[in-house]
Amino acid sequence: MKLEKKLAGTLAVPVLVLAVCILLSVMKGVVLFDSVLSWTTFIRAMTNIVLVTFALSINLNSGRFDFSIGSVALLSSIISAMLTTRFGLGPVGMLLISVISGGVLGLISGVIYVSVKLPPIIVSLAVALFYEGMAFTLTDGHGVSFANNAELLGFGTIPNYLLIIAAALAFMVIVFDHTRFGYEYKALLSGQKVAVSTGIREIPNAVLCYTIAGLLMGAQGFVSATNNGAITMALNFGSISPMFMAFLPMFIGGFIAGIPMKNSVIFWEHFPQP
Amino acid sequence: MVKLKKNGRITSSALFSAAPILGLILLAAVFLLIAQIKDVNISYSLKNILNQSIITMVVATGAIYIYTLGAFDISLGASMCVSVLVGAMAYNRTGSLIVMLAVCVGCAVCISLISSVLASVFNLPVFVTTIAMLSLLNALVLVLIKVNGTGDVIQVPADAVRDINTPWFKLLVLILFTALCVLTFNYMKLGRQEKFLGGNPLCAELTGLSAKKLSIIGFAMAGLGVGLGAFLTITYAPTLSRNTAASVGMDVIIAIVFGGMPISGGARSKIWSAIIGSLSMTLLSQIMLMLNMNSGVSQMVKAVIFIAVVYVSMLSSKKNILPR
Amino acid sequence: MMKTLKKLFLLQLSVLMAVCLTACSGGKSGGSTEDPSAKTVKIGVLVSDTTSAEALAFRTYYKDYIQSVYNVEFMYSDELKDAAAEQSAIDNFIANNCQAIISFASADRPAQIEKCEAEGVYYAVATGTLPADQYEKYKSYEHYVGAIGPDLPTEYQAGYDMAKHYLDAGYTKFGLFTGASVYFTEMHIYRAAGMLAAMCDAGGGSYAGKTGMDIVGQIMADGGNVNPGKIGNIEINGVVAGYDFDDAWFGKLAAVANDPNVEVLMAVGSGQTAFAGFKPEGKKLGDIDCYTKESVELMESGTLDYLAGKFSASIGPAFAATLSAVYGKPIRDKDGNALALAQGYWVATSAEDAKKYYEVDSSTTNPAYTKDMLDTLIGASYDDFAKFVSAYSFEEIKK
Repeated sequence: MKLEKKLAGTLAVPVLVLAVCILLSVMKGVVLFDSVLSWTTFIRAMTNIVLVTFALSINLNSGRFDFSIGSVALLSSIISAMLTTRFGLGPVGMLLISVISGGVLGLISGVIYVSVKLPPIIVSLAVALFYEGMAFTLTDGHGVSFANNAELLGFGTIPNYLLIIAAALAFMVIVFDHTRFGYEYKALLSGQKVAVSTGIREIPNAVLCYTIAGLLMGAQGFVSATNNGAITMALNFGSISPMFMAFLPMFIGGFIAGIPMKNSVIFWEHFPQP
Repeated sequence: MVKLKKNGRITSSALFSAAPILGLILLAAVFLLIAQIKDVNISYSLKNILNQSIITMVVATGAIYIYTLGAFDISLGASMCVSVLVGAMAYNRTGSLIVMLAVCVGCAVCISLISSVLASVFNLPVFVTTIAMLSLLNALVLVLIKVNGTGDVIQVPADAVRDINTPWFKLLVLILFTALCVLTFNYMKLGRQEKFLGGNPLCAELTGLSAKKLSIIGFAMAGLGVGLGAFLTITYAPTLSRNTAASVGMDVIIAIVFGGMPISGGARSKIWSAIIGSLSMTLLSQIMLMLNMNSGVSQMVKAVIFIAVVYVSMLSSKKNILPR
Repeated sequence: MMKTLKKLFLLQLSVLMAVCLTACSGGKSGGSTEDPSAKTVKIGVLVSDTTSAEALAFRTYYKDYIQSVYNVEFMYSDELKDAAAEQSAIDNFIANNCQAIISFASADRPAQIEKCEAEGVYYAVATGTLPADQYEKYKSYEHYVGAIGPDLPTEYQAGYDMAKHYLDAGYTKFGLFTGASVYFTEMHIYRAAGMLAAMCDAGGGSYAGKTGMDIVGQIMADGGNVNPGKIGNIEINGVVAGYDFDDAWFGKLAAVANDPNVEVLMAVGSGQTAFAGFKPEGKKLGDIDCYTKESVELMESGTLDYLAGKFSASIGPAFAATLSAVYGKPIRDKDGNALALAQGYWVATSAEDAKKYYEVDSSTTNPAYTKDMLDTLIGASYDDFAKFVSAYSFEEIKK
């Protein structure tokens, strides 16, 4: 297929969506991006969706439905916010703690899954309930507020968000396309029984998938918390809503990835559309 | 098929597969024990358990048809909310409970059919269309409330439904619907075909079964359950809002899993899972309430009990690869 | 084995159904005739919100203070999102032998009152009031204790006073957060209407041709929305409503908070969540909410400079009235009607005031309404009760 055709196919959906948005804005008499704030809002929303979609797709592509990613983001952001406000850390410290705690929570989730060997959707329901309950108990229902902390709130700038997106994308490309783990992940994805029969160790691979998803959701929890300086609690599956915003980008990204353009497949497969 | 006896002894797999029933019995026993200790009004509690679990029982029983196929419908709650609102509006215009029932059921069945037909037309996994339907239905709920023009709620006069807001009527609905489902699922080819398709889609299609046709019928049955659940919801609480039935979707999943239904469907699907799971879930909630625990701790305890019960019930079906 | 299990299950189901059917024929289940003061009184609490600062403050007052000094046990519901959940929660409380229910949930108050009356359980509304038509219908119900809280005129006045505070200081450009007004929550609609009425009085104009209390009807006619525009020389340059908590919602809040044509941000509630994190330094923020550690910190840092807050002990009189009813001494007016009393807010315009109010409000040993004070309400006359409730200002309570 000619390069122009491939490019056109790859860019068609985002350009079409942009065109519709511009048309609607003109009809309403407003400007789509009229200030830096508009761009910041857009890029922040994209950051959230990129991170959540990456996290969801890691397991969903393997047939593992994970309801617990929202609760991982919630609990990791609670842990990082509590430690940050207690020890007076800055945004970088908070981000690191959030990512690491998200990874640990994801690891626990993965270990539970491989230990009990129940369908992942069932495990994720239980984990979501448990993590939500834990977040509620840790803060006694009050959540965490740092609306006074200008340093943390000041993290939300376009360069910082783009940095997070770039880091997440680079991480995903490297880990899933250039490591043994990534090759084994894809082998398991395309044929679980055959892959296991060839000696691929499925259990460590699955645990690592959950851990990576947890790392990404830890970052998303941080982005969400530093947006307005408050983290509110959720019970009874109140935390699962972030998951639903990831489905459409995932499907569109998957559709676009079907257009045969080698390098773009790598890019678009990992770059969901907001 | 679980081997029940070996050398005259009950096999462990038989015990494990009976875990949901045993779990229900255990929860009921714990409930009664704690109720005695806490001096709870047991007869009122039992009526309460019926009220709280019956809607989930009805909807989940219908949803079994979807899950048996190995499919998954995330939009049941939103579908029920739309049916409830449309049914209420129909009553307010006609004053007829029969019309309200017909509209609730008709609306829910239509929504389910749209999901499954769309999946067939676009050749997508049906789960994908239910995600799209979820967004659409949530938006439709807001439109219906706005169109009705009575603020943020749509109300059916309480007097209109008082006579049917009785345990007898609800039990009647449950029994009739369950009987229909048991008949079609356990004693007619529909059930066998669905289990076959859910267990091995390739073999089922090669033997001539139409996945699309079975999916449509399965969703229609689920829609019937949602419609009846919507009608019962209006009778129980005739003030309806955009949050009505918000938790039904998750309650249904938990109920059928708690009841021992394999989430991947197939031959081991059981129509009774919905009823066992709904009752178990409600009993567990009642136990947590009686213990008057902190909300967060209570939820953590529920999570542990949930996974423990499901773990035991699925011990008989372990394989050497991870389930998906 | 399978047959045995099936039989066992069917037997159990039959027993369960038989017990249910027996239960179905049961009559009223509450309203014990024993002396209620001799044993622990169980009170169910209906809550529509379990995680907001206000809800948690109220819960702390009841569970950590009231429960420690009175022979009562509070049972809290989960978050109640709709009328069916409220009915379920009431059923749960009745099954657990609660003798009374205090309600913070309002999806379907008439249904709550009717159920409690039918089951012989006392029912009170805390931090709110019934609309006039509902009060007329239920005021003589034996088990309806009454409603004590900010009534709608008080909510209107709270919004009016907040806006007037800034208008008197010379500010003319406003950004508003109208919260749940788009969900037709009357409390927020009346607060917003009060703000707009103050602007009408100060700016010499009208809001869509309406002034005063008529603005309430206009907001309702507009679907709970408040529209930006000019009222005389006063400008409303940005309005955000709802509690979407998605990126678009936060984006709108940030846009209004950072709008150079907005001098003052005013919120009908949750202003700390809505605007505090986005607001640039120097811009004013007023909120109608409650006193929390965070709100005091925001006042101290200058982020927030006006707070009209419900104090957590304000629900004390509702509890006292309920307990009095359970003890067989319901508080009724001379015509035998239930309580309908208004309470107002504590208004802080400085960090010192906010800190002073918060210290009292958050105390679980010496709150605003102590046991000694509430004891005077049990068995009191309607007039004495009303006099007590009407003296709700900080100075009157702490004198």
